[in-house]
Amino acid sequence: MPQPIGKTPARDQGASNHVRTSSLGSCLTIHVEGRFDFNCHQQFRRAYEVPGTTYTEYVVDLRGTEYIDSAALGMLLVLRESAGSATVRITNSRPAVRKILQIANFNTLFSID
Amino acid sequence: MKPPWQEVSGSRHAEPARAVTPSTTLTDTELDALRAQVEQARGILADAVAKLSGSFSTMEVETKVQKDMMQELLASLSRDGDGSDPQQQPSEPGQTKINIREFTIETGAFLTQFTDLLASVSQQSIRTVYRIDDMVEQLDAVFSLINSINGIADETFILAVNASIEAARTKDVSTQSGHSFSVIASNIRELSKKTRRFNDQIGTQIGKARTTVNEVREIIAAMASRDLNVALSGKERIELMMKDLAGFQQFMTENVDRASVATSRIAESTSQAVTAMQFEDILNQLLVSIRHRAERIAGQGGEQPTTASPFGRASLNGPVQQHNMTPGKVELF
Repeated sequence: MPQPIGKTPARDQGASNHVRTSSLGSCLTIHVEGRFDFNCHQQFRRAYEVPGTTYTEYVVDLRGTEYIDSAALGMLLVLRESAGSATVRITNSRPAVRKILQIANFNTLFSID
Repeated sequence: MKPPWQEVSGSRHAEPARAVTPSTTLTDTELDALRAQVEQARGILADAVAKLSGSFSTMEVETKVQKDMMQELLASLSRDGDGSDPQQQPSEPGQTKINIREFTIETGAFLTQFTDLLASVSQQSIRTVYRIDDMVEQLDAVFSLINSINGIADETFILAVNASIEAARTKDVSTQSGHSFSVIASNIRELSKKTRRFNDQIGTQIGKARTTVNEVREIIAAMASRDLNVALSGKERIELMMKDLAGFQQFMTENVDRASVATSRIAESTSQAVTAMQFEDILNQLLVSIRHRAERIAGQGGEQPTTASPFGRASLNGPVQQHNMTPGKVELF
């Protein structure tokens, strides 16, 4: 069971997940590779919280995401919250990940494609 | 047990010749035998009809009970089943009506609440963790400030040492001023040592605070990081079950409906059968007529029955005028 209880999440970042970004104009794309779980919360936040920069669109590309837990749902919701009026899209999710997003009713909060 | 009509056929075999051959007259013994057989036939008929009537009446009553039960069941199954008002008040406690639809709606709402709560808890946890990350960053900034102060203390210490050396040199020229300078230098050295000690204490306290904050982050991490496959696939399974249940209700409704129609048909048939029991009267009258005819033959010695017959013309054609019984049929037996 991939339960990070008891670990020190902030200390072993980047071992099994990787967050990188690419921007085009005012659109920021965040790519999450491997496991999208609590361990990448700092990386994920730093990806979009860039001082002095604002975007009108955020795209979370989950092409390389194998697994998501509830912390990932929380991170996406916080991203949506801090994005304000900017749109947040979730793209390229694999069937297992997409199922979780659907069951969590995320299709009513984000545009998922 | 042997039914009574089989015994009858046995006794008929005992004297077949006389029954078939038409003789001009009937002897008294033959007449008695005929009378007895007619009476026996009437008895058997009355008995069988009484039993049949009883059975049919019971069937009629029981079918009615069954029909009422079916209708009640159907009513309870289809209640709120048209989907016109899904927000209808749930059944009061103690009310034992089956309402799978209501149950399905309530469970669905509960499951949605559960998923929303899960997402909401994750969101709050992540928000808190981000704040904790900020706090750790601020504590780290305090740490680096303490290091700066330590640098100043070190420089002050070196300054004090240099001042002591300079005081020793001045002593040779003027004893009084050299001594004073030496005291000041020593005081400055003490101050730098004190600063360093306090800085170390502050550093230790902040280190402890950092450890505590990290512990809090771990607790929140455990709360935020839930594996969703179990929780959410459970939700999916329950939703599927709910769908099956709704289908089951539909299946039940349809079949109870069909059973209800069949029960109605049974009731109708039973009622027709009861009407058909009138054949007893007709047969009974026919049997009486047979006996009378035999008695007449015995009394008149082969004479053809004419208008002189004490039974009149009507009795010639038999006492029964009715040839069919709507809706029942005698041929049934």
